[in-house]
Amino acid sequence: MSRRSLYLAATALFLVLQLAVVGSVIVKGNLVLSRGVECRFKATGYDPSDPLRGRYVRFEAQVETKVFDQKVFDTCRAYFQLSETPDESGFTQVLRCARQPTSEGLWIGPVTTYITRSLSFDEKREDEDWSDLYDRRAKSPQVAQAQLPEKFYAPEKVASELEARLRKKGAVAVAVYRAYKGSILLQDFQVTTPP
Amino acid sequence: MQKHEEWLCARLPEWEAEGLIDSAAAERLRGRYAAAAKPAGGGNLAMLIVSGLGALLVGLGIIALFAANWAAMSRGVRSFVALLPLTVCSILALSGFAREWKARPFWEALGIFWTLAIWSGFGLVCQTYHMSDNVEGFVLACTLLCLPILYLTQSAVATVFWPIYGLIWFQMMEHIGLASVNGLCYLAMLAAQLPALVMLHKRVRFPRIYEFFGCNAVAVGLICIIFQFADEWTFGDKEFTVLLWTFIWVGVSFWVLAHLTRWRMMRVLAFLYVLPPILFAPSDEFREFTTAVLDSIPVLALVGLLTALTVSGGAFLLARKGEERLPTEKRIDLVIALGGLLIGGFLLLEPIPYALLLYILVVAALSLVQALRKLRLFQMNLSLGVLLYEILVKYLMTDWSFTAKGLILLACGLALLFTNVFIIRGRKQAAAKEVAQ
Repeated sequence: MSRRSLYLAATALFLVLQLAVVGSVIVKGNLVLSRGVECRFKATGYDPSDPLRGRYVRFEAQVETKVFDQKVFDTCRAYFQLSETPDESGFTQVLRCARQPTSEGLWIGPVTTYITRSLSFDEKREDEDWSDLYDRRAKSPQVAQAQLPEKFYAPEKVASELEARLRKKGAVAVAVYRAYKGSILLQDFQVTTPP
Repeated sequence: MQKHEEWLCARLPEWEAEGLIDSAAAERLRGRYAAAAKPAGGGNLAMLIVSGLGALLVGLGIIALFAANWAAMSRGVRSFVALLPLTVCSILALSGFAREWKARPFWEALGIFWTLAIWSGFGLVCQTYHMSDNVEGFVLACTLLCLPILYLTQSAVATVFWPIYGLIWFQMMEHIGLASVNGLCYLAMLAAQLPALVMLHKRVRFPRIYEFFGCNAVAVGLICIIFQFADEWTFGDKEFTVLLWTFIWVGVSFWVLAHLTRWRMMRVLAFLYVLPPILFAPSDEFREFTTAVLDSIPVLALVGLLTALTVSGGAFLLARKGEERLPTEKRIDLVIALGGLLIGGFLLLEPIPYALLLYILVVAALSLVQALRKLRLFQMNLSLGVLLYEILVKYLMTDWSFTAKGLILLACGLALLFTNVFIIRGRKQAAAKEVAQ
């Protein structure tokens, strides 16, 4: 085989490899978004910017459970079982966290997992010292918290409007995901404000 | 082919001295083969860097233009657009191999653009589907996908920067000891790049290239350590610290190179890179830090290093003995570069002295026009570099829309590429006219 033919064959093979690798991500993404179960979680968010990607919404979805396997302490990635139907307020419940799926149902993972306290630093009262908050936090129950995709790439103007809405009193931010066969993808980020 | 022509031109004085050919024959041979012996863009490192920078700016401009109008497209269209640059680069490479194109600027620019296309294409797909949680996987996939580009295009810039992607991935992982699985994977990646480095060394013929890469490997390692310990070594805030250390790293790197390669320009470059940290020394951040920890060893070592580099670099510039003296034209180039750096330093502080900014822009623009008229490549690149630096630093940090930013980046990249092509073609035409006469 001549040098020219070798390079041509290698380039053609590399083209196929590139398309296959990136294409697999596209196929997986479309499968999850089209066939997945919708999961809605409360979130807190803000609007940072990036020199290359512009403005986007960064948020933290409250995906946590007090029911978790002690073995989860030994690892930073675990599985979470979610309710397949939303609760009365329209949010998806996190049923349990385990190192491996333990029963039938809607499981996602493995996802990055933190063991932390249920009381967050955002719940500090106005008249409360930081030391008092730390004491209260230490007494609150432990929870296993999942770190799901947390960046919503909204267009520049939309991201700014979303942040403006987030700052209003009584605003409720909701992160909408789709879960399918263990994978979970962010589909939308909504902010509702009181009239 | 190029090596044969270079060999022939190098032998001509010897043959003339031995009486094998007369001077007329030597001139005819020189005129015929000298231009081909030094093809534009072939082995010239500066040309590779400039064409690389131009391709980078064009690529970033295109990325920014798409990013600005991304929301208007559906997911399917976005995925298609994300894959388009990869496909175009592959088709260009296929055409290049089929038609046996050998022009170095083409393959160099293609290598850089292809690398950018992989990172941006994969990144855009992840962004389209809001996949942002597995950054380590993304970096590893892009790093491995970029490896074949080093061999297909033999791009110098792509080859030199490739180990950094692997280093970033390695730093992101939890267990980063070299004896761990991740460490072994990283070493395997470096081994996979070795043949590409050897090919680059044979082509570019950079003197003592292994010392160069060794210095940069040490420098990159130092920067990784600095990022981890920046809180302890901070001069007020992390970004300021990283900026200072980056300048010092580059300055020291060039200084070491100057000693290894005996390239005088390296000493000049070392001096130019160390100058901005000295300019920052009067800033509030540095003053607060030095007041608090003036007897700290890192601060003293830093000040001592800066002083040594500045004094020796300044002495070199002002030297009047024999071959150390710089020609007048190069002194003008250095004044422009220093002025640009001064303004660059001021741009990072507030308030911006607009009178000085206008002054240096006018000087750089006039110098650019002169360089284009006289076909002086180094002066043109230096002047254009100062202009582009002012434009990019000033306008990219504003809140302008990404459409505007993309157009500016694209224009800057095209300006850099076209001015270089203009001068190289002008020189070739002038050389051809001289031979004809």
